[in-house]
Amino acid sequence: MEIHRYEKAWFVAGMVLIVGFIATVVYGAVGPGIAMVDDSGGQVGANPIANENYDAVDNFREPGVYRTGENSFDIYVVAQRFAFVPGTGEPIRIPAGSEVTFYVASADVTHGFNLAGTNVNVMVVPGQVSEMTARFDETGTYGIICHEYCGAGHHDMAGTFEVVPQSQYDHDATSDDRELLRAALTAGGER
Amino acid sequence: MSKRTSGQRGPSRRAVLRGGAGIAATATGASALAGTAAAQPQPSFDGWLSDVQNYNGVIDRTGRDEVTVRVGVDNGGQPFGFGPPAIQIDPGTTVVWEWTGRGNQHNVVDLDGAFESELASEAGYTFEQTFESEGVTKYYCAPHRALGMKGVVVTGDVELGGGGGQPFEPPGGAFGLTFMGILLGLSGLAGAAILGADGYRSYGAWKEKVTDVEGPAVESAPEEETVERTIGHDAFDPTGTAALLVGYFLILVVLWILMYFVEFLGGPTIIG
Repeated sequence: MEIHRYEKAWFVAGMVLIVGFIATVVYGAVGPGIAMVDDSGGQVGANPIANENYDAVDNFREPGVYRTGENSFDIYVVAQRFAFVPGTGEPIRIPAGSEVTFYVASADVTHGFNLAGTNVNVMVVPGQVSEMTARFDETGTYGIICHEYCGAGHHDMAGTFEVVPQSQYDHDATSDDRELLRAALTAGGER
Repeated sequence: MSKRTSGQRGPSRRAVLRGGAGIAATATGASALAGTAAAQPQPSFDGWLSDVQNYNGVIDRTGRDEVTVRVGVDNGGQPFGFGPPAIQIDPGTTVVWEWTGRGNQHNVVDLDGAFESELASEAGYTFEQTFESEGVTKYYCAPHRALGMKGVVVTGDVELGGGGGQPFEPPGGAFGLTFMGILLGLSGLAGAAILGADGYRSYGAWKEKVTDVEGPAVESAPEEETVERTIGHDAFDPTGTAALLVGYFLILVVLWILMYFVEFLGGPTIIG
């Protein structure tokens, strides 16, 4: 078979592209540590979420921001028609330099959870806790967007995620007070 | 001699129909723009309450210090409504919104931004606001605004338009309407012309076939192609094509770097 020298050059260039793409993906996984969203969040019944009966489930807590370490946070978000709780009514706020693990669950239908402009992006399927971790080193404000059509108010379903400077962050009442309250109630019940 | 059968009449009939469809489209485009919505029996507050199904008139709540509006009442079969959606109060009256606990999270948000409650879902949650100055306040529930969860507070003796509804005013104004009408009309005409020409051509082809039905089909032999010059396989250098491909290759490489290393790795990304 006779192959023209130009064709040989094009073939080599095409192979370089393919090898390059694969090398890039491998670098992303090994270097910056990009991970896939998997089912590690576990399953959760839709009823406890819809009825706000979070004590009945092991792998989901009352929606809010929980501090788990100096620079690490767990954020529990419920997506429901047509709001993120928290996120829509009150912005989710964390300090810069934090590592955040999101746990997102749906109270009704399939929703999406995407921090606009980033690849922090997951489907929120009823019955499944979507878990993902991301680092936020720089301050900024991101929109939270539902990207799975969920009904007539889908286009209004949005929220806000704010990364504020460390000095301005004040871990507000939402989670710690509830924790203290819950601890007090539990203690009272046991007495 | 030509012979007509019902099978052969097909093409011309279809062509006429196709031509007609284009003209009909023109007419529809023009008449659709002439229609207006029917007037409503109550004031719709510039259309603010026109998609609120549980709205049937402004409820008089004057002469009281405190008025309750329930949040999460039936609105067209779903618990996404304010009850009642439109009230009239005296200046200085406090409106208390009380959550019914139905329809998940609701809030009360002033359209002009004067007040906004928290999102809440539990029954018995309340939010209150005192209205001192006369006027019309439009508010909504942010998660369910698109489902018609909207309301109005009329403070004081405000003219509400005498019960007549606002006439339907399509957005864009008269110029936009005229422009769209002309555009639709022209595209209809163009469609009719194209379909008509197509039909005429198929009619011509059919007629020719009918006329020639008895004669033998004339096959015109393809003209002999003459080879002008022959070159060897390696002597042919498609440099223009090669340059184009090199250009595409460079664009691909630049997009690859931008997309993966700038766009994808540049911002927060999932690491676990």
